[in-house]
Amino acid sequence: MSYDDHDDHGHHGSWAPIIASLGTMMFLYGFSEASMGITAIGIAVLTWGLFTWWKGDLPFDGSEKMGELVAFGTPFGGMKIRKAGIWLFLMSEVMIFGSFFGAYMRMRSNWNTHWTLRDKAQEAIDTLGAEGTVDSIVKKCFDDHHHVKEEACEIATNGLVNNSFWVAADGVPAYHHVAAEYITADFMTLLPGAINTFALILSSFTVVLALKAAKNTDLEPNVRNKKVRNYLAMTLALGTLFLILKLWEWNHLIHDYDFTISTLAGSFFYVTTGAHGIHVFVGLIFITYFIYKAHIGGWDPNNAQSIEYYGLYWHFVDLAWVVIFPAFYLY
Amino acid sequence: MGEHQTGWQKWLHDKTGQDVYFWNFVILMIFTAIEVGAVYLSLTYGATVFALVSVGIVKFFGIAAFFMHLWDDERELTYTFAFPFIFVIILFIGIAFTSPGSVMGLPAWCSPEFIGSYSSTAP
Repeated sequence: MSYDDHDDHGHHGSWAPIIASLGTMMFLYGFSEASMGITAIGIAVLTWGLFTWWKGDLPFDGSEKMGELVAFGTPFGGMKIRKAGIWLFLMSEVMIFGSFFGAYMRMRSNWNTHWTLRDKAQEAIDTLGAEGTVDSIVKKCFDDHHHVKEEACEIATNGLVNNSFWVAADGVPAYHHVAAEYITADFMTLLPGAINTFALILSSFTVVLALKAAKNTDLEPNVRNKKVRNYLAMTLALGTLFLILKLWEWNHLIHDYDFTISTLAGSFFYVTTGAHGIHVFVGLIFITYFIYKAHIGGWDPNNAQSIEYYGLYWHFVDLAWVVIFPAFYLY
Repeated sequence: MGEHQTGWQKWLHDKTGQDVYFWNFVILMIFTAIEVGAVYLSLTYGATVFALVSVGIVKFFGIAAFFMHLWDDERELTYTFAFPFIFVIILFIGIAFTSPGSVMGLPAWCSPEFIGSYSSTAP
């Protein structure tokens, strides 16, 4: 369809988008001015606007005749509107995680971290004739508990890595311990993250299996719903395992390595992995309802697309982890 | 979801008895094992980074193309998903992989000090 057909559908005649915009404006103004009152009112108005919009745009009269709403106009003309909406939402999610990742890479590539120490070790070998490999030199710079051995490091790098590498002139720490240093040094510390990576991939696959079962017209309704429920329950279990291991890992890093959010590298690590964990948690809330719906026999091939849209979100959470895991945990 | 598979996906299903989603899952698991193993193989710095980035690209493609159905769905959805990466790349080039001057040299209106409420603590 095109814009020319717009009049055939009639206009919504809804104030909802304007109300939602007004709420957003109040929320952002209140947030920037640190005014809790205006922020709260903004969130309330925004929620009201979005709810009104949602209620006005989707069929809640139980009529299957309307079916899935289809978008018109460029660029999503002819596509299911909820699907296009999910992808637009995921587009904004890319920006959120892209910002976290960009800031983290900024720290890793330019400030004094494990990466720059390795660069310095290589430079010492190439230009100052330092003996050994990059790994052996870096190893001499820390004791078994990852405390810095400044003097030994300076000797190993023929003077290249000296006090100024570890402590800046104004007393601010120049060196930033990153989580990957602790995680890769001990397999048991890496294990929760590694298990979580496998768990997320497996959970993505179980969502796909749930969708396939929901769309399978050859199955009896009760068998179909039982399969959907079981696959979604497996996803819920794997997601829960992810969060449990994540919290265990955080606890381990904080208490055994003193790697806290108060440091620059710690703040990057906990904010990024925490934001990802919140996404997992939100996904688990939705899937709990989906399991309940399967339990009461609510899924059939005609409404299975909701599982597909949920799956897009869940796969994105997996996708974000594909980037976070190697960057924050492995190197 | 492309449950009515055609072309190579149909061929794969006919030959192996398993669909593309199953094989995608298997490949993702194998590459994750390689990813974790690469860190313990005592590779050089460059080789480790190369291995991690390569595995990451394969896994990213596998999830986006098949689990998220972008391979079979409308191209507009791929463009929608790809669009913000333009800004992410600009972010990387402008901030992540350049000298500290890329941040310190930003115009005043980009600086936290501009609104006067808090100050930067960047080293």
